[in-house]
Amino acid sequence: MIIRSLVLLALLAPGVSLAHGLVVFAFVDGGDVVVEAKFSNGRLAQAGVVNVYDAVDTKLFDLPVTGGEPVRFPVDPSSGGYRIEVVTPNGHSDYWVLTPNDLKGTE
Amino acid sequence: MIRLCLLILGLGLSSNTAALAAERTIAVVSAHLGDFAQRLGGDGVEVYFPVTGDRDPALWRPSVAEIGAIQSADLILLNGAEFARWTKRTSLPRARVVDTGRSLADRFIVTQGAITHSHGGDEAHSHDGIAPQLWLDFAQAQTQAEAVAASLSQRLGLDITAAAQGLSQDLAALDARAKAVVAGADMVLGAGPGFEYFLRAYAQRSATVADVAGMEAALADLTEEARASATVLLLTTSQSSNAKALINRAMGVREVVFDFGSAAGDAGFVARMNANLDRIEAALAR
Repeated sequence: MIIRSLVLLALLAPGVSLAHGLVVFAFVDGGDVVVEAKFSNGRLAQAGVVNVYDAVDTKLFDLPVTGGEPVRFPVDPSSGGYRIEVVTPNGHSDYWVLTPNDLKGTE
Repeated sequence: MIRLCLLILGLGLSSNTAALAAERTIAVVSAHLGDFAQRLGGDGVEVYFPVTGDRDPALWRPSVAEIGAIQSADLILLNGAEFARWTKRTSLPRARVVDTGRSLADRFIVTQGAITHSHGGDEAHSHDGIAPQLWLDFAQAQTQAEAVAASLSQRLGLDITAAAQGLSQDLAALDARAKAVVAGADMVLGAGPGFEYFLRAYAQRSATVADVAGMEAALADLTEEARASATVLLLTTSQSSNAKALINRAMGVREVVFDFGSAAGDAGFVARMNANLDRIEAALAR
């Protein structure tokens, strides 16, 4: 355990990103998935990329984040769910998972 | 005769189907909550804990299908205290979610550190924040068990009175045993995060250490005289290498491998914690 901790400390380069600065939320609205990305101080992410994965975590496509606007994409009716990850240029990242139930608008 | 057998068989199948239909599914984020739910609910519940092997459920990330199964459960038992961060990254049905650590919020331990990393597909994580292993103070585990009991009784309508009494007695006995056993150590060190509540509840003197320098600093708190005769335990989550064990021995520290009880295991929570206390007792007797 101690050795593992030391190795981890040694491996961590200065400037490594803190993983919890970004908060991602996604929901379904009018047949679209809407993705919002905010920092924990409430500021909207102005730039970055939205990576969309399917239910088995295979990447489907990516979309740009621009100007703090929510990112939208149409729901694929045959989708088994999505994991939606947002990565900002300064290395922050977070994700949100939508299950088939979420996509149907049930619970 | 054959028709009679088939009829009996058919009735048996019907009653089994009815029993299965009545069985409630309880999704849990940690093995200790799964054990509490199973002990309390008995045959009336089926526990869903998809974290297999020795993966750490605190950092585990479920698949979309696993989240779907959790969303469908009759009850979803969370630990709280920021354990299983994935629970904050999807929609869970509020009416069926129980945060078993909620009433312990004023007892949460805030940890400090700046290590952020991830293991394979698991959560990237920092050691900043709240120590989540609430259950390692067995009085707090009892509070969590009471929250589980209340949810099974009130939300699922199960009669769990006798089972709740038995679990409560076992946890009280575990708490008393931990106090008695750990009292034999002059100082207890936790190798890395995770031991905070156990140390606060049971150790006379304690520290969380990340490396040999940290261990030396903690031992420096003891006077020269005390250091010569002190019994110091080092709790770890896995056996150290031979070299590390030699260093520990040279520093007069007795290593004890400690099972947090949150990952999947063959035994129940009380048995796993008693096994930890057995190892501490053995280390103190060396």
